[in-house]
Amino acid sequence: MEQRSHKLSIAVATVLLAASSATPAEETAAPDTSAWACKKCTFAQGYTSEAELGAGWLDDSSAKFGDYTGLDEDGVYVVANAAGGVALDSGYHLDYELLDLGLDSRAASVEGGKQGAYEFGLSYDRVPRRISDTGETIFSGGDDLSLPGGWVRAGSTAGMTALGTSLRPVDVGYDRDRYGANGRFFLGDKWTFGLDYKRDERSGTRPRYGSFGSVSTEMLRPIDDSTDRINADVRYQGKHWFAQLGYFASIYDTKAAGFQFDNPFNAAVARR
Amino acid sequence: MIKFGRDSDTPVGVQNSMCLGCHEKTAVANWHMGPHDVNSVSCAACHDSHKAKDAVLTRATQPDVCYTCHVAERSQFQKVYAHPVRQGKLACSDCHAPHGTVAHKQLVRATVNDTCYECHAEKRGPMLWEHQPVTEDCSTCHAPHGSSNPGMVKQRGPLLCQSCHSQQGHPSLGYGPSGLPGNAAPATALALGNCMNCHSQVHGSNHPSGSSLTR
Repeated sequence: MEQRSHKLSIAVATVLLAASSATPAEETAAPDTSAWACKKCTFAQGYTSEAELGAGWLDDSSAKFGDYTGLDEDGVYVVANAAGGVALDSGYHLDYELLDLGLDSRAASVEGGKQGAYEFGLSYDRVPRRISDTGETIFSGGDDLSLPGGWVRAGSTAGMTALGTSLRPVDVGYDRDRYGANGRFFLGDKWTFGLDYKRDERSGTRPRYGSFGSVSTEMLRPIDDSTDRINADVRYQGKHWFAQLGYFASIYDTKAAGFQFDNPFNAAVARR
Repeated sequence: MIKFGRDSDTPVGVQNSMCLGCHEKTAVANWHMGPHDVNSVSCAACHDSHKAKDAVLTRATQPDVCYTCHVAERSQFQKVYAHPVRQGKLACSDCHAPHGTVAHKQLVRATVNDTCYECHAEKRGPMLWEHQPVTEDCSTCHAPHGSSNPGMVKQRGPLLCQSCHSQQGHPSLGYGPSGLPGNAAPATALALGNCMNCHSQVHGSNHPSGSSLTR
């Protein structure tokens, strides 16, 4: 079963009348820069690049230490970063950045364009969510959790004699992969057209509770979903005002909408 | 001569007029609608135009620039449960638009919830059974800049739930040492410890029998 949620929002014509009377009294007219020359500032042209390579060692595993960093397992880690770009006199430029290669928190991005004409960007980012590495569960399965063979139901854990032999260790957490693409086109100094697309994909598990009347059990629920966002806008800039028309869509899609689990207690309901 | 920066004697308006001469037409058209302009924050107080990589435009280093003024948020993000700003996976500008917006708290989207749904769209619904504060304002229960409680909630359960829900008709009793396990007669609700142990679907349920948000 698939569950989808859609939400569309439209922002129409945000008009700002920032006339001179509305500006703070402290502000004055912009200085006349026609005779100014940049003598001390150097503008990098051509190709530049840099790279880093490092290594580390963790003497113990820790989900909390690895939460959002990817450094959750003990052992040796090799980490690489790189960045660079090219800028030309004609106004074209292209830059890239690679971060935390070798870790689960790795990211990469590329940006480029021509000054005053257009710009674009591509990005990828993994966000590792490490919730627990000390958990144990009796359940097995993904979105249909079953009790182990020979399970002894009881009103509380004290009577569940198979509990000790049925527990198995589980790591709890999920990865969020984030993709992005954007572009902006400038038509003169009045019109701007923009398009921004982002996609998040998550996969893994997170804890949740399931109740059976007056008793409850904790288990793992699978996460397998994605969210797409699209933002498009067109803008006209006047001397003391602007108008902008925007469109935004967010689409959520999950492949883990259904969820069932056995009742480890001796209540009337065997499954939820 | 115009001097730029946080400690400059040049009036902020004069400093900013240099930058706004070009940038007001695009990225900062809402500047005059924002509290940074109202509070006379100069562009150069945050931006360094002489560096190839402006710190405030880099996700990992941006928060330290913001923390220069927003010191309370610096401490909040050190809490054990917080968005991954400290780890460099999220920047202030992922939620806030520092150059001004028409939204409350300079959020990037029109409302608090729409901003949260950028990453947490699974909470958006619509659900068959809604939990009213969820659809109203995520920050009713959550502290987005960090909390000492799991899930970044403002209080631990059941105290958080009891800030709205009374005890009438349900054993949502207040925490007390006499009711904890190990005492003569521990209260069932206290032994469970948290309303969300049973009402796990506090963000809403699509189950046909999920009106009490237990499944």
